[in-house]
Amino acid sequence: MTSTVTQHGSENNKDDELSHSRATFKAAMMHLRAQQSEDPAIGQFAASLESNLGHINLALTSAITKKVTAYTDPKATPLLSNATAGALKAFTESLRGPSDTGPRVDEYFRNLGHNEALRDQELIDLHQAIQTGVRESWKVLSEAALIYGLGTADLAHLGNSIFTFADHLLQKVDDGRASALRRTANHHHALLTAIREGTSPERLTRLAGDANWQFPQYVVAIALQHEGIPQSFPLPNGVLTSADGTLLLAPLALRDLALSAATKVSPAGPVSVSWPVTMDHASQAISWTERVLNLVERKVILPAPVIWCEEYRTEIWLHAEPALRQRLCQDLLLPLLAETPNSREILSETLLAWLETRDSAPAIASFLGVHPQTVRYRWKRINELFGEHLHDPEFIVQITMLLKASLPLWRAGDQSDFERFVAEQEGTS
Amino acid sequence: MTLLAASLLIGVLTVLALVLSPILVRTFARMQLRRAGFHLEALGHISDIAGIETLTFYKHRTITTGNLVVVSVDPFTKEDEQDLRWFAGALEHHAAHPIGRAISKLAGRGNVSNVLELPQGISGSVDRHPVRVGQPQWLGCTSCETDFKTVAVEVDQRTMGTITVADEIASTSKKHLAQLRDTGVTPKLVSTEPESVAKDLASRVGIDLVHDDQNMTSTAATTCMRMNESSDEVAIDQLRFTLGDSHPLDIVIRAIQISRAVPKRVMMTQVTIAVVAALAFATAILLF
Repeated sequence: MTSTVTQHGSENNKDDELSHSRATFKAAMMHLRAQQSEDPAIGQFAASLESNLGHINLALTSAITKKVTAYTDPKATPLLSNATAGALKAFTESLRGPSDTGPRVDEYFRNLGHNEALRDQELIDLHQAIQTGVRESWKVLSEAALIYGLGTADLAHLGNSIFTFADHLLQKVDDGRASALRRTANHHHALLTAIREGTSPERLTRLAGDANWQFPQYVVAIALQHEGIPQSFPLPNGVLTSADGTLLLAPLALRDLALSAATKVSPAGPVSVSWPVTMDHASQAISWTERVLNLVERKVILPAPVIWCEEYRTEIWLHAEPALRQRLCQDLLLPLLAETPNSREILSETLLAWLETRDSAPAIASFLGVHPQTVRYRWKRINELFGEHLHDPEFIVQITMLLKASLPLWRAGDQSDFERFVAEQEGTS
Repeated sequence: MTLLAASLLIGVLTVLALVLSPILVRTFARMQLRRAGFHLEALGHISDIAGIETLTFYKHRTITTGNLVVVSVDPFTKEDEQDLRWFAGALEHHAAHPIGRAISKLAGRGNVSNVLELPQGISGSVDRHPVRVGQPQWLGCTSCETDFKTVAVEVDQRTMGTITVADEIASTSKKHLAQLRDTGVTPKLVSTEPESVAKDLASRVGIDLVHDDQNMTSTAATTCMRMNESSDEVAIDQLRFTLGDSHPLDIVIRAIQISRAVPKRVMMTQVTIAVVAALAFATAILLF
């Protein structure tokens, strides 16, 4: 109850203050009018305003603090008063000619936008404050102009000048915010690049400081394949993004928010998400997510809107060293590479099924969906191709891993191993 | 006077009975033949049938069923026999050709796709292995060519071996041939096929071979049996008869048996008439 009374009292005070300012300004203008020539120009009107800017400013400040909730706090009044005073001065000067105050006011308003961005605030309140100030200015100044006896053309010019100036200020505020966001984003990009590529702890700490980023205990990497998150997309503060927006590094607590943002940008996916890792392994987590997307592209992993790396750890591991896999392929699977693609694929899948299960022909046949005699035939062919190697434990371990990695590629139509084999054969011959 | 009249009557009746008895016996035999499915236009043909010493016939529907069966599976490597049977058998389940139907009995059905039946053979994928079964020349195996119905089998672009099919022998063949021989008739097979193929069939059945089909004519001791492929009509030289549900050799054997029994029956009938006449004459003497 007390607070309600206080609030009502405060509003009444503001109304009184606003009315008083308007009345004082009106009286001053009537006095000035009496001293002016018969045909006053708008420049003279502006000059006559300058001595009364304090009253106008008070009216503007009162109107804004009354109408814009964000500026009701008395602590904000000095800042607001400075801004409106500067803007009024620059405007009145601009009515008379080039203004010295203008650039300083522009910078001031740009800083306002910049600061809002640093506070992770939108510009809605600031825009509302400027628009309220403009409306109040027009109200006060148009009345004054009528009292002063400005002609219709000058009045129209005055209105046009006020609204153009307001648009100019709004633009400066927006520029300031965009500049701040770019700067922050650049710091984020630099930090993420450093984490991804590896750097000294000192540099990392410095970059984190520049980006105003606190090192979380656990982070999650998120990668997008087709479309990056745009710079303008509202991401939770604390989520690092790459310059193209296709890579995010989020503290574990923000994982769901970051993933939600990623799936909004790319609803069909694929979006890959690493499991939580400490900062020491953030670089690896990033490479896992990127490798998963690469494997999706190569049809080793089935596409889905969201792919959790945790479910494909084996694939991530087996495809960590593509060059090594290809070399082993050329060395160990030489007899298979000489087969036709179809034969290579079916013999490989039978061999892998046997290596993984060591089951009987009927059991493997059931697993592969073929006739037991087909499995016996294939096994005979496999023995013809690999012979005694199949009794070498080292060979068995290597070929198991190799087939597990290579078979999905062959199934997906990747014939690069075969083409490499043919090229080497031709080179040898 | 009375005794004389009775004797004359007995004598006339006896002569009459003796004269008519062959006709009656033949008529009765003809009725029996008709019941067996053998229609004679004239009684005299019974003698023709009874006189058959050698019966020559084609294989179809006499000693073979008209179907084909696999008689030989010959892989190039002994270990491949089961694979050969499996891949060829599984693919041939999709064939309409009699050779394919015979080979399909070698294996069960499998995952078969991309089947293409051509005049030279059939191709398709069995459990994703490319398989072709057909003329050896088509599969580039000229050495596999034989007089027999032999097809080559290729799996994964490698020719694995051959499969040979031949006529399926009817389960009743041996019984019928034995019955013919028991009735004193020599069965002989006539064939239009290559000599080696015909000989193989003849040896499997145990029958002599006549390798002449164009002018299969009868001699005094040889009767030719022809069967119309498209109907149930059978001809033994000039005689024609229609098959019902019976096997042609069954009918022929029965007809020969009935025909050959006719003279004996005539003689038995005449002896019986003579005895009856003698008894009647003796009775008349005693009474008068």
